[in-house]
Amino acid sequence: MTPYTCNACNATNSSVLSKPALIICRQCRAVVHRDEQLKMFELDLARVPDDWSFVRIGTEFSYNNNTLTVVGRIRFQLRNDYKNFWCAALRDGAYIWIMESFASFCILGSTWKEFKQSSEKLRAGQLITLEGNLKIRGEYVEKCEEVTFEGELGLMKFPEASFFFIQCSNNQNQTAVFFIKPSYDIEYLEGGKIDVEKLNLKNTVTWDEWK
Amino acid sequence: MSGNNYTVSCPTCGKINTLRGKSMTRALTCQHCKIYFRTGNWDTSTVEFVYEEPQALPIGARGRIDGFVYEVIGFTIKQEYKYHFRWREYLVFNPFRGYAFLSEYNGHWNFVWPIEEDPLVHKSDDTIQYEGETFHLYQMYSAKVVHARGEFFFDVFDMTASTTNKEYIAPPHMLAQEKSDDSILWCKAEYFKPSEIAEAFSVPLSSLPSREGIGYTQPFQSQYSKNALLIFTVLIILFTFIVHLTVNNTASDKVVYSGVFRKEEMADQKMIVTPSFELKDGTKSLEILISAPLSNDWFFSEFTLVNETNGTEYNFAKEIEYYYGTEDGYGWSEGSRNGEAFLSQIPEGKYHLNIYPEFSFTTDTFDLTVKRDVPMNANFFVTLIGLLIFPAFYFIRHHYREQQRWSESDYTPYE
Repeated sequence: MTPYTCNACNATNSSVLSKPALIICRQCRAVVHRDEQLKMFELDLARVPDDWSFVRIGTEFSYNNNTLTVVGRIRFQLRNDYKNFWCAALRDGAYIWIMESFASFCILGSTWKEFKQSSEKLRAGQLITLEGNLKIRGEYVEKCEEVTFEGELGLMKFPEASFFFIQCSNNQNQTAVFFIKPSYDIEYLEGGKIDVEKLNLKNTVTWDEWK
Repeated sequence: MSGNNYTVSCPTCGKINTLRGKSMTRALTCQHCKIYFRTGNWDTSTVEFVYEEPQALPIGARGRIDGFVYEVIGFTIKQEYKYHFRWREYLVFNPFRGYAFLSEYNGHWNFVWPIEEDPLVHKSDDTIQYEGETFHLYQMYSAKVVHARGEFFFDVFDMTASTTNKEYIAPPHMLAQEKSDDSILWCKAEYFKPSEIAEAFSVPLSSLPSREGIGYTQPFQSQYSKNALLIFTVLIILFTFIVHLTVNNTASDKVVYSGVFRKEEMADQKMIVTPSFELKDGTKSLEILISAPLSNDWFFSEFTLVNETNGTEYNFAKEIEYYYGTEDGYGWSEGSRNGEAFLSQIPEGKYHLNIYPEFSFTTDTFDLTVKRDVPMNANFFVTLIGLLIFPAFYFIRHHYREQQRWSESDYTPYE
């Protein structure tokens, strides 16, 4: 664990990621650490709004024989939806993203890839082919209205609102999420949809009144 | 919902609305002035709904479906553009399951939930193969929201107006596609009886709309599947046929008496008594064949089969008639010169027949043959008809109800 001291409140924030891109102070919500790639952005440091997600910082889960721990969240408020990108740390300091919305889960890798085809191909219903002959079809296009952060995060290349968020998938549960912003390259993360039961989540919010 | 202090101000009346869906709520009607507005900043217009209908499940009502507690978050009445059908949709939510819908039309309910797969991968013509079922295209429509109350996780007003919908049915299930330029959402649905909704949400059944007609995903309340009954019917026909063949092949069909009788032999007697004949091998059938050389004439006789051992009598009568001629150059005939009487259960013993013939003016003779243990075709057909009554009733009713189910569809296979 690497300690980061908050310049605003002097609180110590321990980091478990080997290369954290952003650390928000758990005490005062100031930026404790920011990667060079994020320094050009105006980050919205408002508190992540309340929602009904049952994942939280500290939630543990199993994936590919690894135990991972959620260390932070980026919340994208879309026009007609929302996406919580939970940053989950592996024991070696690497991370993956768990994308969650209305109890629907995807596991996404942390490697950003550039989409070199035309953005016109990223439409609902359109079939596209990615590297490795991965064929996926557009599910929805949504504009992002707000981005908020908490905890410790890996690299999110689109930390400001006003980009278009596109998800494309196929029936083998393979999926990719694309980020389109004018004057930026189109980049995407690849992964797969997964049933929440397979994640064996621990230390979640119990929301007892729903049981 | 507890522990919630997420609030927004109504752009019309300025009053504070505490959101049940917290930040997940993207549109709502003001709890105070009922105006519809969005929580985001992409569309700041408002909508006022004039049309109103009673709401069977109030906002905040909770019910357990498939083992999960769902809460009613929002309510809409939607109207289809072409035929102006109106139906009601309740947006329900559970944090561990996401959102779903309860759709009600003519008192028929469907629980509708989003699915991750794209069922169109398994589509051919207007059918989809999905999870072992064949779904048939039932309707394709566009609609608008004419009434809304509560909260929504999306701009239900705009999304309803901008999407086209296709619905495929395989009762009690349905696949629904909602498609716009920006999104494709697939949902699966399952039919719910009003009593199941009443029980799930602990509301009186009488407070729910009464069922009218056949719901388009309503299953038939039957213990039998159509295919199982079809297989059963074929098997029962085969079984009956095999039994019939077996019985007929083992029937001895033996002539135990035959005779020719003439009117002049009777003199003044009204009755003919045949010689005795022996019936053997237990209780079996008996067939009496009568033949007369009729020519535009008739023959009638009453018969009494007499058991000479115990005096038991079996009475029966037989009339035969045969007419023929020519009309407009075409020959015709009617009736037959032969007839038969059948006695099904005659015990063994020594018998004779008392015959009481009535001769016409032109016929003065007839032949009589008595056969023991004859094949029984009539039994086969009577049994078969009896066995087919239920399947026939089932399939006719099934067909009728399927016609009713598809009566509101542009894609009915029953035209």
